[in-house]
Amino acid sequence: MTNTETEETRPESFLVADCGSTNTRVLLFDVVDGVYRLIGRATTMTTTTAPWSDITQGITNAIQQLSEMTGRQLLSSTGKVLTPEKANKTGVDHFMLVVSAAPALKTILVGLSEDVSLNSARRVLHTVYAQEVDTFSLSDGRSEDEQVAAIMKHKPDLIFLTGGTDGGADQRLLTFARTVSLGVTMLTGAKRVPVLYAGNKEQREEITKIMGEGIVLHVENNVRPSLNTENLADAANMIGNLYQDLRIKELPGLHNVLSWGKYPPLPTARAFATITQYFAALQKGQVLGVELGTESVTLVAASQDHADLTIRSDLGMGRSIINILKYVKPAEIAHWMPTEISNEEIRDFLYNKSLYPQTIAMSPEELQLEHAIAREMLRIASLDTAVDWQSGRRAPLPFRLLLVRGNTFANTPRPGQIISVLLDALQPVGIFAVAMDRYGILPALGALAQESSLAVVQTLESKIMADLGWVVVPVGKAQPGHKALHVRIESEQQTHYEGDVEFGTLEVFVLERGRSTVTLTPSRRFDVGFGPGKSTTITLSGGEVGLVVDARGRPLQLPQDTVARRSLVRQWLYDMGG
Amino acid sequence: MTIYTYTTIIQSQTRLRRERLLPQRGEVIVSPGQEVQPVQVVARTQQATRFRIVPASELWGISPDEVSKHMVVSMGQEVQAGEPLLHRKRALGKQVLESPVEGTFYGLNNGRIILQQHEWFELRALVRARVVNAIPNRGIVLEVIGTQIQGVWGNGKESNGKLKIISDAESEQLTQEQIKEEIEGNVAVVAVLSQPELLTSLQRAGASGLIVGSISAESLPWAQKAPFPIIVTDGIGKQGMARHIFFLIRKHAEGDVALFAREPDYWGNRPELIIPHEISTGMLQSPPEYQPLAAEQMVRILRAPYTGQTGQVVRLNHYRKRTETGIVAYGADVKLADGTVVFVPYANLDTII
Repeated sequence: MTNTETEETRPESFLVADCGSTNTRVLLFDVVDGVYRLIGRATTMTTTTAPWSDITQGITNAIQQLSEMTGRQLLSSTGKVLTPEKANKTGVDHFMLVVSAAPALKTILVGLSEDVSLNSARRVLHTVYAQEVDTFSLSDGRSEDEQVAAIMKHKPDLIFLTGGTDGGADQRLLTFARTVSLGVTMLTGAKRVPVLYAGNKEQREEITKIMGEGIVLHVENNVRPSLNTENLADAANMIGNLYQDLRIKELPGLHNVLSWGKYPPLPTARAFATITQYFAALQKGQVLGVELGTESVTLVAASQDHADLTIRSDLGMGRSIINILKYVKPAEIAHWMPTEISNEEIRDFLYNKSLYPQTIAMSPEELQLEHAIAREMLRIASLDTAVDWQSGRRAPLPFRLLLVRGNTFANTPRPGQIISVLLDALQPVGIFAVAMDRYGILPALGALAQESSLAVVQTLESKIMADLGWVVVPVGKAQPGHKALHVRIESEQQTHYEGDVEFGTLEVFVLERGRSTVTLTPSRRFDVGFGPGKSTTITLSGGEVGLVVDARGRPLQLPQDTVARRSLVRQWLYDMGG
Repeated sequence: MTIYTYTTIIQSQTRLRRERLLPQRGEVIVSPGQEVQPVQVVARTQQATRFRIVPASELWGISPDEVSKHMVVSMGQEVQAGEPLLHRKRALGKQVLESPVEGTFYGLNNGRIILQQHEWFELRALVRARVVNAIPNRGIVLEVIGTQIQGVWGNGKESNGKLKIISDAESEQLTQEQIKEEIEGNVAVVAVLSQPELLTSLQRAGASGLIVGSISAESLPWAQKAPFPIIVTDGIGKQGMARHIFFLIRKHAEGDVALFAREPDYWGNRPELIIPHEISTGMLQSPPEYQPLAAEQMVRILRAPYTGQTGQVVRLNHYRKRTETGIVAYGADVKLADGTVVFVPYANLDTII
């Protein structure tokens, strides 16, 4: 073999920087003993904000830490990533960047009908980190002057205009277009605000004329070509590009970092969607990905060939945590607390956390409060994904694996507490496993998937994910205390256990190491996914918590009585090891 | 391991430079080298406050393209109410479309005439300082010697006045009885404000500003609407003002203060207060530098059970430790004012520089 051939066949190494709004993490992937492994990772503060105002510093700080930990030189004397990898194992072959540190795309939605075109436009908007700052629709009572004033006040990054089904001709859409044109003209600033039009295709020409030459207009296929069809892909693709141009590329210092590698920066949520779809392919079934981030909540419903991404940039456990009060009252958060807490204390906590988004709970009471808020936040965010837009019906998605990530979960000490939050918030049904991204690796793997599937698969095989356990949720109704499910567990060690789970209760069964064969026999009125009363036998392995049977019923009902409710919440926490 | 944490500037004796900029192009009326007083106007501009849309094509029943043919004013031209905007000859004389308001002709959009109305905006120095630079048409750079304290929340307003210390202790809650006549024209310094109605009382008493350690979430909407600037130094709730900040401000009681209560934004810009005072050159601190956390560094703790307490870093732990909740995290051992040493995750530390 010649030297050239050796170079060509040498497996390549990867350094991925994941810049979140509060933390920057760098991860090094390379081959050890013939297989790809995560070699190391380091985390520091993100430095896109004052006083640093340069994303580079946080990344280089983290890389220096990683170098100290691994003993591998990764930066040159000028502070750039050394590429490609040298024979003496300094540097790396590829540098990649995953970003969620940019602020959300401030967008004004303009459309005719709240239930039709604006609903679809909103779904498009939720595929990127975007914030809906205002909405103009036929139900808007404001005058044109007031709407123009609103455009001037909000100074949006984008105006997304939609409405009408293809073929119709609605003068009202043109009136909105004139208002938008006027508002954009009135905005002073270095850059003209672009307009995205994805409405009635018959009116494209008139819309283009109304906008005139001074306005940057992007035209895409109608998001609602007919009342019964929805086409989000084209507009979603364009809004993704606009987010890259208007937000990610504007991050201070980004141009330096981009010169270290050949890959464009990838939004974290996109990377998470990619890797969730990977899991769906490995599982040969649906996977639900949940990220409870500092500045957003991301949900990915993935099958083998598709990933449906929903990003809620108005929610999150950091600066935007106070927005939860737009959807729920403090008392509804308090419902999840095992101890007494006043509305005032909840409000103070939310506002304080928004000022210090990077902080973590140090007292058990604050941890419980963060979890109570997380429950409501995930519940609100999941309403978007659970809605079947055609029928408007809420339908829980069946999935085989629930993938979770985010600082709140990473800073939760007991795995049962995490599962408890997820079950209360999402109220899933069926049989599924729960895995957690404890090391914050998934977006990096999503980026890595662009270049090396082998590296992704081999890294995942190294048990890098925390297997929290398995969950069975029988669906049905009975009197409290009546049997909902019979469970029989046989371990590889030939030991066995069996027992009944009563309706209204939450039970945890320990699974011994290795594989266990679990037979689930629901009562006549209960269904675990195979029909009422139909039993099934599944093979499960381990998990930190074991097998959780949630027979509390759907939808979950909390007692109205405060004392009874707190007692029940305390009992559930105790059952889950919290 | 190099650790950076959230950082707050609290400098008792410093020399700092601050830009005072107009929101848009205008006229700078002071020069470099000049000493300025707080109330002195340093720059001014005419700011667009309102606009008026005149639907010309609709009113005359002509196409939008035709409107420009009849325009008798040009872009940027000032017009008086009643002055002609459009003019055309008719068979029986002429037709004129008059301006309904006084303003500036801003532009034409789809056959509609846009008129802008203006008001003078005057930018004041707010602080006794020396002009060290003038930025043509935009503003100036001031150099101030004194005390600088960054806050965590502001209501977007700015003003100046004399420091009137109301609270006797760093955790004392403001009461109605403490709001007296002598607050008029002064900046009230309060440890804790829990009741929103006390903001109305402060307004009635004529306060020109408020510096508060912590404020209740319930009071924030009122604080947002208050006509005077409000700077929160520590947080939301009842934790009060960090001892270090409280004593530093109290040292300058009755002295001048400038409040720049900008709202905290995504990019990390924060509100600050500046207390100008004389300092002998030898006592001046060097400008603060953002450096990695180190032993002996003063820090403020941001989460319960030590919220708002300041202390000194005893050591940085290079291994993870378990907190009361069971979370294992990297952090520092911090010596509190009462001498106890506690472990605090780095994420919950605010480095004071």
